[in-house]
Amino acid sequence: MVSQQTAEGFLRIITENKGLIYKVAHLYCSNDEDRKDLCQEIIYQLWRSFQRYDEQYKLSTWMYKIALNVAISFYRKGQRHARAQPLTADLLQLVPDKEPDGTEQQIRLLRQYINTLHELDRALMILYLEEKSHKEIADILGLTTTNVATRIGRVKEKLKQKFANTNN
Amino acid sequence: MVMDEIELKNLWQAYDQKLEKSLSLNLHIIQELQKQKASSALRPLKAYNLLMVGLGIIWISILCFLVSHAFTYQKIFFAVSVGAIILFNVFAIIIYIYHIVLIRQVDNSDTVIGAQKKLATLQASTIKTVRILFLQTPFYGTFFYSPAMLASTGVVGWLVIISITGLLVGISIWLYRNIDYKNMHKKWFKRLFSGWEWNGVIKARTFLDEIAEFERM
Repeated sequence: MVSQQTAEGFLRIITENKGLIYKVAHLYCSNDEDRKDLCQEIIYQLWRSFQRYDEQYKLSTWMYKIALNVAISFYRKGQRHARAQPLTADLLQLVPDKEPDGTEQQIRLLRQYINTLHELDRALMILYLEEKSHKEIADILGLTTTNVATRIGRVKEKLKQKFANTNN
Repeated sequence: MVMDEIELKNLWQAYDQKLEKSLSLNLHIIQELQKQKASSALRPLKAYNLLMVGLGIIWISILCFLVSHAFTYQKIFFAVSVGAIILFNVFAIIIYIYHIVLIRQVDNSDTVIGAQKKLATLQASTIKTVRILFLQTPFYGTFFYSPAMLASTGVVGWLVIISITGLLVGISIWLYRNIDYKNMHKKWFKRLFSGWEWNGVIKARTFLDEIAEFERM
Protein backbone atom coordinates (compact mmCIF):
# COMPACT_ATOMS: atom_id res chain seq x y z
CA MET A 1 0.00 0.00 0.00
CA VAL A 2 1.38 3.37 -1.01
CA SER A 3 1.44 5.96 1.75
CA GLN A 4 -0.28 9.33 1.43
CA GLN A 5 3.10 10.98 1.92
CA THR A 6 4.65 9.08 -1.04
CA ALA A 7 1.70 9.97 -3.28
CA GLU A 8 1.87 13.64 -2.30
CA GLY A 9 5.66 13.71 -2.69
CA PHE A 10 5.23 12.38 -6.21
CA LEU A 11 2.61 15.01 -7.08
CA ARG A 12 4.98 17.72 -5.89
CA ILE A 13 7.86 16.39 -8.02
CA ILE A 14 5.67 16.16 -11.11
CA THR A 15 4.32 19.68 -10.55
CA GLU A 16 7.86 21.03 -10.24
CA ASN A 17 9.02 19.19 -13.36
CA LYS A 18 5.96 19.36 -15.60
CA GLY A 19 7.95 21.27 -18.23
CA LEU A 20 10.42 18.38 -18.55
CA ILE A 21 7.61 15.92 -19.34
CA TYR A 22 5.97 18.31 -21.79
CA LYS A 23 9.22 19.02 -23.65
CA VAL A 24 10.23 15.36 -23.97
CA ALA A 25 6.73 14.34 -25.13
CA HIS A 26 6.65 17.18 -27.66
CA LEU A 27 9.98 16.26 -29.17
CA TYR A 28 9.07 12.60 -29.69
CA CYS A 29 5.45 12.93 -30.68
CA SER A 30 3.91 15.40 -33.08
CA ASN A 31 0.36 14.07 -32.98
CA ASP A 32 -1.83 15.64 -30.27
CA GLU A 33 -3.72 12.47 -29.34
CA ASP A 34 -0.56 10.35 -29.21
CA ARG A 35 1.16 13.01 -27.16
CA LYS A 36 -1.60 12.87 -24.58
CA ASP A 37 -0.98 9.11 -24.31
CA LEU A 38 2.77 9.62 -24.13
CA CYS A 39 2.50 12.18 -21.29
CA GLN A 40 0.30 9.75 -19.36
CA GLU A 41 2.70 6.88 -20.01
CA ILE A 42 5.71 8.90 -18.85
CA ILE A 43 3.99 9.99 -15.63
CA TYR A 44 2.66 6.47 -15.04
CA GLN A 45 6.13 4.93 -15.47
CA LEU A 46 7.63 7.63 -13.23
CA TRP A 47 5.05 6.75 -10.59
CA ARG A 48 5.80 3.02 -10.84
CA SER A 49 9.51 3.68 -10.55
CA PHE A 50 9.15 6.38 -7.85
CA GLN A 51 8.37 3.78 -5.22
CA ARG A 52 11.84 2.29 -5.84
CA TYR A 53 13.63 5.60 -6.32
CA ASP A 54 17.01 5.69 -4.62
CA GLU A 55 17.63 9.19 -3.25
CA GLN A 56 21.39 8.89 -3.63
CA TYR A 57 20.83 9.50 -7.37
CA LYS A 58 20.01 12.94 -8.71
CA LEU A 59 16.27 13.41 -9.21
CA SER A 60 16.65 15.00 -12.64
CA THR A 61 18.89 12.12 -13.83
CA TRP A 62 16.25 9.59 -12.75
CA MET A 63 13.42 11.59 -14.35
CA TYR A 64 15.20 12.09 -17.66
CA LYS A 65 16.16 8.41 -17.90
CA ILE A 66 12.54 7.32 -17.51
CA ALA A 67 10.99 10.08 -19.63
CA LEU A 68 13.46 9.52 -22.49
CA ASN A 69 13.25 5.73 -22.35
CA VAL A 70 9.45 5.80 -22.42
CA ALA A 71 9.40 8.40 -25.20
CA ILE A 72 11.94 6.56 -27.38
CA SER A 73 10.12 3.23 -26.95
CA PHE A 74 6.82 4.94 -27.74
CA TYR A 75 8.32 6.62 -30.81
CA ARG A 76 9.89 3.39 -32.05
CA LYS A 77 6.63 1.52 -31.69
CA GLY A 78 5.14 4.07 -34.08
CA GLN A 79 1.66 3.56 -32.73
CA ARG A 80 -0.45 4.40 -29.78
CA HIS A 81 -0.03 2.34 -26.66
CA ALA A 82 -3.50 2.55 -25.26
CA ARG A 83 -3.41 2.25 -21.52
CA ALA A 84 -5.55 -0.43 -19.93
CA GLN A 85 -7.66 2.35 -18.41
CA PRO A 86 -7.21 5.29 -20.77
CA LEU A 87 -7.83 8.75 -19.37
CA THR A 88 -9.38 11.10 -21.85
CA ALA A 89 -8.71 14.50 -20.32
CA ASP A 90 -5.49 16.45 -20.98
CA LEU A 91 -2.82 15.91 -18.38
CA LEU A 92 -0.78 18.93 -19.40
CA GLN A 93 -2.38 21.94 -20.98
CA LEU A 94 -0.61 24.87 -22.53
CA VAL A 95 -2.40 28.19 -22.70
CA PRO A 96 -1.49 29.63 -26.12
CA ASP A 97 0.03 33.10 -26.32
CA LYS A 98 -2.42 35.81 -27.37
CA GLU A 99 0.15 37.50 -29.55
CA PRO A 100 2.88 35.13 -30.71
CA ASP A 101 6.13 37.04 -31.28
CA GLY A 102 9.31 36.33 -33.24
CA THR A 103 10.74 34.24 -30.40
CA GLU A 104 7.70 32.00 -30.56
CA GLN A 105 8.42 31.37 -34.24
CA GLN A 106 12.09 30.60 -33.52
CA ILE A 107 11.16 28.20 -30.72
CA ARG A 108 8.81 26.40 -33.10
CA LEU A 109 11.60 26.13 -35.67
CA LEU A 110 14.07 24.83 -33.08
CA ARG A 111 11.57 22.18 -31.96
CA GLN A 112 10.88 21.29 -35.56
CA TYR A 113 14.58 20.85 -36.31
CA ILE A 114 15.21 18.77 -33.21
CA ASN A 115 12.26 16.62 -34.30
CA THR A 116 14.11 15.71 -37.49
CA LEU A 117 17.11 14.33 -35.59
CA HIS A 118 17.62 10.63 -34.87
CA GLU A 119 15.84 9.64 -31.65
CA LEU A 120 19.11 9.22 -29.72
CA ASP A 121 20.54 12.53 -30.96
CA ARG A 122 17.25 14.14 -29.98
CA ALA A 123 17.74 12.91 -26.38
CA LEU A 124 21.28 14.27 -26.41
CA MET A 125 20.13 17.65 -27.70
CA ILE A 126 17.37 18.03 -25.11
CA LEU A 127 19.86 17.36 -22.33
CA TYR A 128 22.39 19.75 -23.84
CA LEU A 129 19.82 22.56 -24.16
CA GLU A 130 18.68 21.88 -20.61
CA GLU A 131 22.26 22.77 -19.64
CA LYS A 132 23.04 19.41 -18.12
CA SER A 133 26.75 18.77 -17.55
CA HIS A 134 28.53 16.32 -19.85
CA LYS A 135 28.86 14.00 -16.84
CA GLU A 136 25.10 14.01 -16.19
CA ILE A 137 24.31 13.56 -19.90
CA ALA A 138 26.72 10.62 -19.96
CA ASP A 139 25.00 9.13 -16.86
CA ILE A 140 21.55 9.50 -18.39
CA LEU A 141 22.43 8.17 -21.83
CA GLY A 142 25.04 5.58 -20.86
CA LEU A 143 27.88 7.09 -22.93
CA THR A 144 31.35 8.28 -22.04
CA THR A 145 31.81 12.02 -21.40
CA THR A 146 34.22 12.24 -24.36
CA ASN A 147 31.61 10.70 -26.63
CA VAL A 148 28.99 13.12 -25.30
CA ALA A 149 31.21 16.11 -26.08
CA THR A 150 31.97 14.91 -29.61
CA ARG A 151 28.37 14.09 -30.45
CA ILE A 152 27.02 17.36 -29.05
CA GLY A 153 29.43 19.24 -31.32
CA ARG A 154 28.16 17.35 -34.37
CA VAL A 155 24.46 17.70 -33.56
CA LYS A 156 24.86 21.41 -32.78
CA GLU A 157 26.45 21.89 -36.18
CA LYS A 158 23.48 20.17 -37.82
CA LEU A 159 21.05 22.48 -36.01
CA LYS A 160 23.01 25.62 -36.82
CA GLN A 161 23.11 24.53 -40.46
CA LYS A 162 19.35 24.06 -40.51
CA PHE A 163 18.80 27.54 -39.09
CA ALA A 164 21.26 28.99 -41.60
CA ASN A 165 19.47 27.25 -44.51
CA THR A 166 16.10 28.58 -43.34
CA ASN A 167 17.32 32.12 -43.38
CA ASN A 168 19.05 31.86 -46.77
CA MET B 1 21.23 34.01 -39.76
CA VAL B 2 23.64 31.64 -38.08
CA MET B 3 22.54 30.49 -34.66
CA ASP B 4 25.39 30.28 -32.22
CA GLU B 5 25.52 28.14 -29.12
CA ILE B 6 24.34 30.89 -26.77
CA GLU B 7 21.42 31.78 -29.01
CA LEU B 8 20.29 28.16 -29.12
CA LYS B 9 20.38 27.96 -25.34
CA ASN B 10 18.66 31.34 -24.94
CA LEU B 11 15.90 30.19 -27.23
CA TRP B 12 15.46 27.04 -25.19
CA GLN B 13 15.38 29.08 -22.00
CA ALA B 14 12.68 31.31 -23.48
CA TYR B 15 10.71 28.14 -24.27
CA ASP B 16 11.23 26.98 -20.69
CA GLN B 17 9.96 30.28 -19.26
CA LYS B 18 6.94 30.21 -21.53
CA LEU B 19 6.09 26.69 -20.32
CA GLU B 20 6.61 27.70 -16.72
CA LYS B 21 4.14 30.53 -17.20
CA SER B 22 1.44 28.86 -19.25
CA LEU B 23 1.60 25.11 -18.65
CA SER B 24 -1.00 23.72 -16.31
CA LEU B 25 -1.06 20.25 -14.84
CA ASN B 26 -4.23 18.28 -14.20
CA LEU B 27 -3.49 16.83 -10.76
CA HIS B 28 -6.73 14.89 -10.73
CA ILE B 29 -5.52 12.78 -13.69
CA ILE B 30 -2.24 12.03 -11.95
CA GLN B 31 -4.18 10.86 -8.90
CA GLU B 32 -6.20 8.60 -11.20
CA LEU B 33 -2.98 7.23 -12.76
CA GLN B 34 -1.62 6.48 -9.29
CA LYS B 35 -4.62 4.24 -8.65
CA GLN B 36 -4.25 2.24 -11.88
CA LYS B 37 -3.10 -1.35 -11.76
CA ALA B 38 0.38 -2.14 -13.02
CA SER B 39 0.58 -2.48 -16.78
CA SER B 40 3.48 -2.35 -19.15
CA ALA B 41 4.08 -1.43 -22.78
CA LEU B 42 5.95 -4.73 -23.00
CA ARG B 43 2.85 -6.72 -22.14
CA PRO B 44 2.10 -7.75 -25.77
CA LEU B 45 5.66 -9.02 -26.19
CA LYS B 46 5.47 -10.90 -22.90
CA ALA B 47 2.07 -12.33 -23.86
CA TYR B 48 3.48 -13.48 -27.20
CA ASN B 49 6.38 -15.28 -25.50
CA LEU B 50 4.07 -16.84 -22.92
CA LEU B 51 1.76 -18.02 -25.70
CA MET B 52 4.69 -19.60 -27.55
CA VAL B 53 5.80 -21.38 -24.34
CA GLY B 54 2.25 -22.68 -23.82
CA LEU B 55 1.86 -23.87 -27.42
CA GLY B 56 5.35 -25.36 -27.33
CA ILE B 57 4.58 -27.37 -24.18
CA ILE B 58 1.34 -28.69 -25.72
CA TRP B 59 3.15 -29.62 -28.95
CA ILE B 60 6.00 -31.36 -27.07
CA SER B 61 3.51 -33.23 -24.86
CA ILE B 62 1.74 -34.57 -27.96
CA LEU B 63 5.07 -35.58 -29.55
CA CYS B 64 6.26 -37.26 -26.30
CA PHE B 65 3.01 -39.19 -26.12
CA LEU B 66 3.48 -40.38 -29.73
CA VAL B 67 7.14 -41.32 -29.18
CA SER B 68 6.33 -43.25 -25.99
CA HIS B 69 4.18 -45.57 -28.13
CA ALA B 70 6.84 -45.99 -30.81
CA PHE B 71 9.66 -47.86 -29.09
CA THR B 72 9.72 -50.73 -31.56
CA TYR B 73 12.21 -51.65 -34.26
CA GLN B 74 9.67 -50.99 -37.03
CA LYS B 75 9.04 -47.46 -35.72
CA ILE B 76 12.68 -46.58 -35.18
CA PHE B 77 12.65 -43.76 -37.81
CA PHE B 78 9.54 -42.27 -36.26
CA ALA B 79 11.04 -42.36 -32.75
CA VAL B 80 14.37 -40.84 -33.80
CA SER B 81 12.79 -38.12 -36.02
CA VAL B 82 10.19 -37.08 -33.47
CA GLY B 83 12.86 -37.24 -30.73
CA ALA B 84 14.98 -34.76 -32.70
CA ILE B 85 11.95 -32.49 -33.29
CA ILE B 86 11.24 -32.58 -29.53
CA LEU B 87 14.81 -31.46 -28.79
CA PHE B 88 14.55 -28.51 -31.18
CA ASN B 89 11.23 -27.47 -29.61
CA VAL B 90 12.61 -27.78 -26.06
CA PHE B 91 15.40 -25.45 -27.18
CA ALA B 92 12.84 -22.97 -28.54
CA ILE B 93 10.86 -23.05 -25.27
CA ILE B 94 14.04 -22.33 -23.30
CA ILE B 95 14.68 -19.27 -25.51
CA TYR B 96 11.10 -18.01 -25.07
CA ILE B 97 11.42 -18.42 -21.27
CA TYR B 98 14.73 -16.54 -21.43
CA HIS B 99 12.92 -13.74 -23.29
CA ILE B 100 10.31 -13.54 -20.53
CA VAL B 101 13.11 -13.23 -17.95
CA LEU B 102 14.71 -10.45 -20.06
CA ILE B 103 11.39 -8.60 -20.33
CA ARG B 104 11.12 -8.62 -16.54
CA GLN B 105 14.61 -7.13 -16.34
CA VAL B 106 13.90 -4.19 -18.66
CA ASP B 107 13.95 -1.10 -16.47
CA ASN B 108 13.11 2.38 -17.69
CA SER B 109 15.32 3.89 -14.99
CA ASP B 110 18.33 2.23 -16.63
CA THR B 111 20.50 4.43 -18.90
CA VAL B 112 18.84 5.25 -22.23
CA ILE B 113 21.36 3.21 -24.23
CA GLY B 114 21.21 0.33 -21.70
CA ALA B 115 17.40 0.04 -21.67
CA GLN B 116 16.95 0.58 -25.42
CA LYS B 117 19.67 -1.95 -26.22
CA LYS B 118 17.99 -4.56 -24.01
CA LEU B 119 14.63 -3.94 -25.66
CA ALA B 120 15.99 -4.08 -29.19
CA THR B 121 18.12 -7.18 -28.45
CA LEU B 122 15.05 -8.86 -27.05
CA GLN B 123 13.06 -8.22 -30.20
CA ALA B 124 15.88 -8.96 -32.60
CA SER B 125 16.87 -12.27 -30.98
CA THR B 126 13.63 -13.92 -32.15
CA ILE B 127 15.26 -14.48 -35.52
CA LYS B 128 18.02 -16.60 -33.97
CA THR B 129 15.40 -18.99 -32.59
CA VAL B 130 13.73 -19.27 -35.97
CA ARG B 131 16.90 -20.08 -37.90
CA ILE B 132 17.73 -22.90 -35.48
CA LEU B 133 14.15 -24.21 -35.67
CA PHE B 134 14.51 -24.48 -39.46
CA LEU B 135 17.15 -27.18 -38.86
CA GLN B 136 14.41 -29.55 -37.70
CA THR B 137 12.76 -29.54 -41.17
CA PRO B 138 14.49 -32.72 -42.53
CA PHE B 139 13.11 -34.76 -39.61
CA TYR B 140 9.57 -33.99 -40.81
CA GLY B 141 10.53 -35.87 -43.99
CA THR B 142 11.92 -38.99 -42.30
CA PHE B 143 9.47 -39.86 -39.53
CA PHE B 144 7.25 -42.05 -41.75
CA TYR B 145 10.04 -44.37 -42.92
CA SER B 146 10.31 -47.89 -41.53
CA PRO B 147 12.93 -50.63 -41.91
CA ALA B 148 10.36 -52.80 -43.72
CA MET B 149 9.54 -49.99 -46.16
CA LEU B 150 13.22 -49.32 -46.91
CA ALA B 151 13.94 -53.06 -47.37
CA SER B 152 11.26 -53.34 -50.03
CA THR B 153 12.18 -50.13 -51.83
CA GLY B 154 13.72 -50.35 -55.27
CA VAL B 155 16.41 -48.17 -56.85
CA VAL B 156 13.90 -45.50 -57.96
CA GLY B 157 12.38 -45.42 -54.49
CA TRP B 158 15.81 -44.94 -52.92
CA LEU B 159 16.59 -42.17 -55.37
CA VAL B 160 13.34 -40.41 -54.40
CA ILE B 161 14.04 -40.85 -50.66
CA ILE B 162 17.64 -39.63 -50.95
CA SER B 163 16.60 -36.68 -53.16
CA ILE B 164 13.80 -35.50 -50.85
CA THR B 165 15.83 -35.93 -47.67
CA GLY B 166 18.89 -34.35 -49.28
CA LEU B 167 16.79 -31.44 -50.52
CA LEU B 168 15.28 -30.84 -47.07
CA VAL B 169 18.71 -31.05 -45.42
CA GLY B 170 20.13 -28.65 -48.03
CA ILE B 171 17.27 -26.15 -47.66
CA SER B 172 17.36 -26.18 -43.87
CA ILE B 173 21.15 -25.69 -43.75
CA TRP B 174 20.93 -22.95 -46.39
CA LEU B 175 18.20 -21.18 -44.40
CA TYR B 176 20.18 -21.58 -41.16
CA ARG B 177 23.21 -19.96 -42.78
CA ASN B 178 21.33 -17.25 -44.67
CA ILE B 179 18.66 -16.11 -42.23
CA ASP B 180 20.74 -13.20 -41.16
CA TYR B 181 20.24 -9.45 -40.95
CA LYS B 182 22.70 -8.88 -43.75
CA ASN B 183 20.09 -10.48 -46.04
CA MET B 184 17.07 -8.62 -44.72
CA HIS B 185 16.81 -6.41 -47.81
CA LYS B 186 16.55 -9.46 -50.13
CA LYS B 187 13.22 -10.45 -51.67
CA TRP B 188 13.12 -14.03 -50.32
CA PHE B 189 13.85 -12.77 -46.81
CA LYS B 190 11.08 -10.17 -46.97
CA ARG B 191 8.64 -12.76 -48.32
CA LEU B 192 9.57 -15.30 -45.63
CA PHE B 193 9.44 -12.78 -42.82
CA SER B 194 6.54 -10.49 -43.57
CA GLY B 195 4.09 -9.72 -40.80
CA TRP B 196 3.79 -7.56 -37.74
CA GLU B 197 6.21 -9.44 -35.59
CA TRP B 198 8.96 -9.56 -38.19
CA ASN B 199 8.75 -5.92 -39.12
CA GLY B 200 9.37 -5.15 -35.45
CA VAL B 201 12.30 -7.59 -35.39
CA ILE B 202 13.92 -6.03 -38.44
CA LYS B 203 13.42 -2.51 -37.08
CA ALA B 204 14.94 -3.63 -33.77
CA ARG B 205 18.01 -4.96 -35.57
CA THR B 206 18.42 -1.69 -37.47
CA PHE B 207 18.08 0.21 -34.20
CA LEU B 208 20.81 -1.94 -32.61
CA ASP B 209 23.14 -0.92 -35.46
CA GLU B 210 22.19 2.71 -34.90
CA ILE B 211 22.90 2.39 -31.16
CA ALA B 212 26.32 0.89 -31.95
CA GLU B 213 26.99 3.81 -34.31
CA PHE B 214 25.84 6.24 -31.60
CA GLU B 215 28.22 4.69 -29.07
CA ARG B 216 31.11 5.02 -31.51
CA MET B 217 32.57 8.48 -31.75
